[in-house]
Amino acid sequence: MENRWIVRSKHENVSFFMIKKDVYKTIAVLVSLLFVMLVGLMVGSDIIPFHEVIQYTFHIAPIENEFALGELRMPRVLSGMIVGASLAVAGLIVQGIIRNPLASPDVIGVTGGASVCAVLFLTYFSDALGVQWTPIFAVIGAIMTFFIIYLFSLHPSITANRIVLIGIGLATLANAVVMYILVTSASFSSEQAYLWLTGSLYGVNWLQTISILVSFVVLFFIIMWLKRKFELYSYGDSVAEQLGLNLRRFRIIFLFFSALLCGLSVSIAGGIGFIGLLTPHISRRIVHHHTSLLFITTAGIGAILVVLADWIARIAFQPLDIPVGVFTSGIGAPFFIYLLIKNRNSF
Amino acid sequence: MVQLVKQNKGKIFGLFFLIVLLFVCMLSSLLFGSTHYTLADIYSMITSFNANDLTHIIIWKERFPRMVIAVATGASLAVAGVISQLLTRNPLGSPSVLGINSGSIFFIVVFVVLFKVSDLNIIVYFAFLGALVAAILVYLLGSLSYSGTTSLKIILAGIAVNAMFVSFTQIILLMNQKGMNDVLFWMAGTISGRTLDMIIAVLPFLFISLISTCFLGRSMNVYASGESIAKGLGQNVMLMKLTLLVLMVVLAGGSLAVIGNIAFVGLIIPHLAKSLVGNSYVWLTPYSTVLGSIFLLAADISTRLINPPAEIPLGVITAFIGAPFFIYIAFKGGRERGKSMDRSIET
Repeated sequence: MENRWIVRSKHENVSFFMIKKDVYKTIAVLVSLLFVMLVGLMVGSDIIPFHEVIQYTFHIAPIENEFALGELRMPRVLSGMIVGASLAVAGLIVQGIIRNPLASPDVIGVTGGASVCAVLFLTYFSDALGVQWTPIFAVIGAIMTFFIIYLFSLHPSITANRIVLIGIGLATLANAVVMYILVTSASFSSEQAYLWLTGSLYGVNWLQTISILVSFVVLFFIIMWLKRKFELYSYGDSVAEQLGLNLRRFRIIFLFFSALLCGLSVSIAGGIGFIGLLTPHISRRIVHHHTSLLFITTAGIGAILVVLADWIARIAFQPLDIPVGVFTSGIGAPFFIYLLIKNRNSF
Repeated sequence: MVQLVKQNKGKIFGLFFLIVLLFVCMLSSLLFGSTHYTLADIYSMITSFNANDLTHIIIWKERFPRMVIAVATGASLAVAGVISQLLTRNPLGSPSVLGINSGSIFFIVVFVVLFKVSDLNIIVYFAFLGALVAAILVYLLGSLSYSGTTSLKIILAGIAVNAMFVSFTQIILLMNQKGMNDVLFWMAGTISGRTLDMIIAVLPFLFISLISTCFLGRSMNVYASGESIAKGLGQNVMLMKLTLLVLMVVLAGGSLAVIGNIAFVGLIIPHLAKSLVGNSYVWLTPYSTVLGSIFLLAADISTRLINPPAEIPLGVITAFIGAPFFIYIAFKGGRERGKSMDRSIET
């Protein structure tokens, strides 16, 4: 029993154990996240020294690079972190629910649906209501897409693989719709259209960052609170049902959450691909036993991937600033192929 | 698959009717656009061509090439779809879904951007090469398992290969933004602004492949009945596969070199043809040829008429029609002659 901590409350109404290794690994992931974020803040077109970053962050003293750090890098790194975390957690949930390693919000078209609604709103209604309503519309789009997929899945002959196929069709359709709206509307250039479809963190401001941060934290806590249900579900339909899980309600609630997470990140960054597909696979390799630690690790690794990819996109091709989505899909597509090879006997 | 026309007489008559329809579409392609012309204009252009008359110039220099290109590439893409659906034995197995389109585009982009090739006579060969590489990759990925090749796995492999080539293409483009304008149309797919010499460079390839596919109808029927049956009937299955592969690569690659990435023609048209004349390839190929031309002509005309004077990208139109179709087939599970998509292909 050396490898675990056992936690009991006084009357044993709460008791659980934690595998030490998993806890250490999770902490390691979070530390690496901090490190990556620091690097992202320090290194850019010019280098801001470490002590200045600390001084600015904790308001110790005014610094000379105030604008570059405070208005450009800080929001970008923070929102990158949240976008990555939300996409990764959404991916974990979707893969868990569909029970298919190839499923993720962007592969099955949820990101696309969110993009469609967001772009529609930006083109036709943003003047009347204001840009700050974009996340709401993106979330509505994501929920609608999930609803369509859910309707398809009610059909008895539909296997999990076929849901993925249907989702891929939806994703293609959504891309075409976004293209169409952007081409026909006067307010967008084709450049912006391209950015929306690839996903990028250009020009994120503090307001967006704070709002997405707060929503993510709230959602994450709710999901952690419901994690027991997620654990039950992972034992398979029949076992979960016998242990008292209402399958249909569970699926709807959790898909709703992942739609919220997706919509939020799309409204900030457009359709960043493959994060939701990739991250859960990595985190499941790191943490084996704990749903709560799994969620934390997934969020952490997703954040690391996006912040890192965005940093490379900023640094590698100066003076060009490349959309982060190009990198994530550049890494993600070969990984998708690797998954196919790895799971080749399960289709 | 319920077929509409059952007697051979009816099929011949139907083909004749479709050819008449094709001519009507060709004429409308010359007449309609941001400015409409009359038959009298065309007549006067043919009888007394005046190099200074703007009407004559637009019809001859702008619309006539578009018409020729739409007819040739529409037919080729449709027949490439017929072949690839036969090879993968999957109703979803069209070149665009299998990543053959994006493989071609990737190779074109690499050689145009990095090696500054600009002669279309040479580019065509790279398009063939790209299509071939993608096809081989998909086949290898799809056949890696104990259970042999299932047609579902081939589709998933195609989707993965497609995603990979698309993201690689994007990365190359972003590293060389100067070359972007030279290759952007290949990415988006369009017929406008192509010249006659472009299609003349690939026309011999396309024409020869189309004719040979039409003559292969009976062997394709034998091959379609399953590989072991085809062997039993004395067919050289390996040779047949190779022939079909080469024909598909030439048809898909050749059309893509001219018009860029137009998806879904090869998915929709074979199904349409099957619903008209049933499963015999003797009839399927000629029908798909004519239907493909009509489809692409109609799509091209609609790009000009939907939002004049601006044009909608052709790829968006085909995706609008094609993606719902894809979803429908995925939902149905492509039951054809009692074969379900999840069952393995005998090799």
